[in-house]
Amino acid sequence: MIIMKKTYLLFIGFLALCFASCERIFMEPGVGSGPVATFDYLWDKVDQQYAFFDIKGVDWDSVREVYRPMVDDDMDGDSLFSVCAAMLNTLQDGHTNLISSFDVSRNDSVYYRMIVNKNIDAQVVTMNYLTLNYHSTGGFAHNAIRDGRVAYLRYSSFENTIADGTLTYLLDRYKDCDGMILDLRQNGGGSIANIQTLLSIFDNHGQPLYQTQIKSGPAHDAFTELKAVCADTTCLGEEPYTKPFAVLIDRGSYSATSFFSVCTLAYDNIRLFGDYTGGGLGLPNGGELPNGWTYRFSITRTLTMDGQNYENGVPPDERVLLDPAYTAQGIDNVIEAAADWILQ
Amino acid sequence: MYGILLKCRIFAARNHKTLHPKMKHNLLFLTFALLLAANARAQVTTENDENEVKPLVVYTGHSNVPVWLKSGIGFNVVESYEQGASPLQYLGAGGNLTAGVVVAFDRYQGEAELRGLANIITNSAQSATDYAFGIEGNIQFLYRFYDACRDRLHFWVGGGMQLYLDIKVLSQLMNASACQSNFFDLSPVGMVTYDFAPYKHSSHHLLTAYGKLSLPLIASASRPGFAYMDNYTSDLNTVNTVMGEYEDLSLFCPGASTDIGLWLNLPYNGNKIGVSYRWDYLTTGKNGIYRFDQASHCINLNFMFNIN
Repeated sequence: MIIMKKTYLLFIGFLALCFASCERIFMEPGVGSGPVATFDYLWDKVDQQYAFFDIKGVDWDSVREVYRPMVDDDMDGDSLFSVCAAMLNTLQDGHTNLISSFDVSRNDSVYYRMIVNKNIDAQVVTMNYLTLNYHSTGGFAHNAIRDGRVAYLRYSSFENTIADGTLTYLLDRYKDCDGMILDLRQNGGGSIANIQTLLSIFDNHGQPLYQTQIKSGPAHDAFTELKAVCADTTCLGEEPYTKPFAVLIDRGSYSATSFFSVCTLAYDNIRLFGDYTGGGLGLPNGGELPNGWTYRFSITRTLTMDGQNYENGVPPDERVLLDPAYTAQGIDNVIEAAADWILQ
Repeated sequence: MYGILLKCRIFAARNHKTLHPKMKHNLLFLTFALLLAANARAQVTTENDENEVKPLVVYTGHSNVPVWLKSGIGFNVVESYEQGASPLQYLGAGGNLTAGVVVAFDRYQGEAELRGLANIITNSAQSATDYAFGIEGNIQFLYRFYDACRDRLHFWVGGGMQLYLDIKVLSQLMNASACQSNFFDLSPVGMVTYDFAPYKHSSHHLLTAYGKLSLPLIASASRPGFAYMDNYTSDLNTVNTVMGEYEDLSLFCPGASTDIGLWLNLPYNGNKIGVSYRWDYLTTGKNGIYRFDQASHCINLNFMFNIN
């Protein structure tokens, strides 16, 4: 009887243990969600993971000394957003954003350069190069110029997916041209997947395109080993495109466009014309703040194969700034310089 | 005996005015004696029924090595903490599907199970929703080492291993991200089962209650590294070239898993239908750069189909 009682007790005890479900005892408690906790969390995240303190010349500890006193737990969301956005603005990075339900912050200096240093006149391009009878294929607006000898392609955003069929059509349509101009001015970037697709028309033999590294620790100089990103080993068409290929860039060419510009260094028949790109060679990633806002900033950095860091802008092979005297006559001297190089 | 008693009473009722007093007295005495005898017999009969040990009548169609195909469907609630993505805890609900096989031989039992979970999750700071998916595979071997209560209460002990793949899709983050974690653990397992019938005179143990406890002892995990998360808005192959930095961890006692339920043992075909409640908890604790905590509570309807 006693043995039976003990057995029953053991059985009931075992069942009780199975009913524990006591994860709350072990789970990490959440961080406080007030303004101070949110500011501190954001500052810490940037301090640990941002990739460009050195090249931007930003003293992040000093930034904290300036902005931390502006925060208290009684401030409203709008005020907190303004302080945090101003803090992130000191990074001068177009890939840095703070996102709330009521606003999205961006870096004003980057956007200022994009607008003020714009190296394209859209009206001149549309009226005199694309013309009103331009063709539209995928994300490309295109037409032939210089009496059909040069193909002009305008690609305004890397967010427009490039399909193999689009490139095949363009290569076929302009197969009799002496070369192509790809206008990436004011192209703010988008999906870097489109870069490999676009490069597939060229002579690809697995050559290295650029090197990249990601933050690996909280120290400002803690990065992984440089890792090379290489071109594919296949070509879209039967033959690679080896005719002269001009790429037009300016300060509005940012992020994926800058990546593409760096990649062109690995191809002999591609030449960059225009102004420096806007930069943006750090891949952004982000997370969530204690109060539910989200953030992003650059956590990787990209170098050329010879170690150059073009975060502040990829230089053109031939620097050509738009001349108002020419644009007044309906001439885009950047396109003309590129066309002259193709036809020389 | 009751028939004789009844006849005496009827005779007495009909003839009570004409019967001699001595005859009435004799009839009363006879009735009383018969009542005593009938009651005594009833007492003896009942006592014999209660004391009789009914043999366990089980489905005899089993082979010597019965095999069941197991399946289940249910509802679950999950609470998770993915520190690299958010300082907040996520709560969600969803469903799960289970499939497996159970093999029994003598005092041994082996089980292999595959489970998939899908949840919609959110946290306290946002109204939008994100998603959490889990795929779990586990194998367990159990040995019945002790029986009690006339072979109805059984104690099992054994071990198992489990693979768990966790995927969070956090669409609300800028450059919306997918977080993937992989876990593998080895754990001792204990189980108690109790066979019983809902009413006294049943000749078949219609019900089996069980409770199982699994305590992962050692584990390994692969978690996003310092800079965290893959970015699924770009081509993953290209991004992984840059951001494919994961860290491998060793974990000790990373959690617990309990499973309690009730099976209805169908008497004619060896199949079972049951309900269960299962709790799984997994944590990386203070190991690794970003903490991972997850607890899931599942209520399932389960089936076991005897195939041999």
